[in-house]
Amino acid sequence: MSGVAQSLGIRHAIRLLAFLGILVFAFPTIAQQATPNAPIDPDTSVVNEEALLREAPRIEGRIDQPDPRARVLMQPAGRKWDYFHEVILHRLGAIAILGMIALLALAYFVIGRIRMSAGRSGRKVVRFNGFERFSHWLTAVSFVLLALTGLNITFGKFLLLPVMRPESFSSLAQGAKYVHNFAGFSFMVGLALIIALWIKDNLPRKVDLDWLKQGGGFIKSKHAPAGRFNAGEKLVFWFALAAGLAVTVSGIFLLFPFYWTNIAGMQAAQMVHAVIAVLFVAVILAHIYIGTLGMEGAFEAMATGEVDMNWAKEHHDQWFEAMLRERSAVSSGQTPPTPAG
Amino acid sequence: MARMKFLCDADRCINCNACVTACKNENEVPWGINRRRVVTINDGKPGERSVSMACMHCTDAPCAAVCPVRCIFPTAEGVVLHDKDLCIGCGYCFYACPFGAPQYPQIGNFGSRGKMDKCTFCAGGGGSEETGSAAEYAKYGADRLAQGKLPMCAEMCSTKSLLAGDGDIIAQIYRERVLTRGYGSGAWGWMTAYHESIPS
Amino acid sequence: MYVEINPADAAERGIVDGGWVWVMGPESHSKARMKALVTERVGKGVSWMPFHFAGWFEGVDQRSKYPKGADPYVLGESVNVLTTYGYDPATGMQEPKATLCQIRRA
Repeated sequence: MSGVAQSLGIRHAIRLLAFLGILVFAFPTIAQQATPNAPIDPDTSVVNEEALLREAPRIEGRIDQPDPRARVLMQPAGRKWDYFHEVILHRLGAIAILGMIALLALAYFVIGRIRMSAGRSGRKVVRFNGFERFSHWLTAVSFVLLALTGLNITFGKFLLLPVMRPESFSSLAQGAKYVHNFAGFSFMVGLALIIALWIKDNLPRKVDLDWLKQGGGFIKSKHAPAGRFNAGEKLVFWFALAAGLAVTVSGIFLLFPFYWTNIAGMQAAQMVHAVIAVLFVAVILAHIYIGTLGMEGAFEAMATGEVDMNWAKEHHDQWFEAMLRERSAVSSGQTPPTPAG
Repeated sequence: MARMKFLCDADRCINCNACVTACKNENEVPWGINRRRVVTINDGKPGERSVSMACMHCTDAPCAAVCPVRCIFPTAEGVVLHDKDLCIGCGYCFYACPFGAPQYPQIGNFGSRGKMDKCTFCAGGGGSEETGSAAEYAKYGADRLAQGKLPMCAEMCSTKSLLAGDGDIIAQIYRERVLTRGYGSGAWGWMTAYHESIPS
Repeated sequence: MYVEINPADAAERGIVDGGWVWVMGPESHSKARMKALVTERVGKGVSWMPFHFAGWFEGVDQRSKYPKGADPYVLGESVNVLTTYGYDPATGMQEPKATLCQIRRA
């Protein structure tokens, strides 16, 4: 090719390349011109419901109302909480409470009332003073009120509503709600007193192992040693402490809804409160049984504060001996040793 | 019988809150009670969507299941109503509702709640008051359904994104829309509320 | 009353969503106190305020000055206190749509 022809060829090539380059960028507009009404799909960048729910348990957004709870568009966990409350809790509560009643009935008819082996001596010894008894009964009466009104929320519509007019049941449930709210406070006070008064005497000691090994006084031929509180009572104490704290904290969350937490927190608080409460009721039923029907000479300890000496010797021998030492030390002018736990 | 449902077309909602205002006005909803609200996801960013939400009137409504006094129940048309005379204000229906529909006036001690209030599909209330009476209006709001009218929120929607009425009809409308415009972000809440989605 | 402000602008000024801010207009040392709505709805360097609010002036609640029973439920700052001195030369109409402002955390 001649020089002129070469330069012309190069210029052509450049022009061709430039034209192709522009064409590459022109393709979308060409396409648009070819189909001018082709819809642009805004959903290419949209958030959709399933994707959002996979990322987070709740879909939340911006709203114009000032209530922060209304920010939640969807919380499918509500249906799961419904299943927990209507199915799991009902079954758990029925099994725990009815099961415990059945066990206690079995215990009463098979083992029977545990009698004092030596019979009554007629001589009394002080077991609980007035303040201790007050604290216990404050907690106990509050607990019974809380238990009945609380169980009404869960089971009332199965047990009571069929035998009452709906208006009467609602009035009862409304009153029960207020009783439950207020009795919660007296329970908290009583629980605090009980913990403060008896935590020292409930600390686990070696004698508790021996008590358990000896069958805990249920086997007549064996002797189960114990301090002021035996291992069984200590278990009840620690369970009541833990469960009591759990229902107190969750109960305060429920008393002041959404004050400290969002809907997930409120659902969790209700679940903790309900599960612990039904187990607590079952354990306290056993505690009530052993303190009333189950054992002769036990109820007067909390009712009058005094117990029969033979009862003390049989069931809390180490505590009784410590009391004797203390009394003789006092009468002989020495400083009394502190009673063993 | 027609089964009443709500559908908010998220691709049409412009967050104008006409539905909120219409509901408040028609039912004289007191201050602080939000029967209906518009929630905007991804506000200001690409893919922003707004959804108008009140009670979805669910199939097997979880609120009705958990109520301790059984004051919530579905009508023959699928509208979930409740009886304020029986309600004890325990708050469980709000915990169970996937859409946050129940509202409570705060009346007193601690966080104590008053009687539950929620969207009624403008179908009055589930109590003993006579349909369309002044007593029913004072307690629950308008009863438009008894007059053959649809809820005010859907009637007032400026873009007709909020559809209310016979579930089959509104599903059909939504399906046609998606086909015509070529896209649809789905019937928000239908899987949770009615256990179905609209194939598009 | 509220002002929509971009998150980048808000971060520079230490403004949080729902926090109180002073908005200053271009003339007469005009200022108004309102809440900030931090959102991506407005771009950086742009802010937006609604109009039709009344009853507050320069951060002071004027409710007591309304005739008895005539005060609205909701009071707020009026945005036209802050808008520019510009006007349409043909009709004399105000310029309500665009103005300069500065926003400061209150």
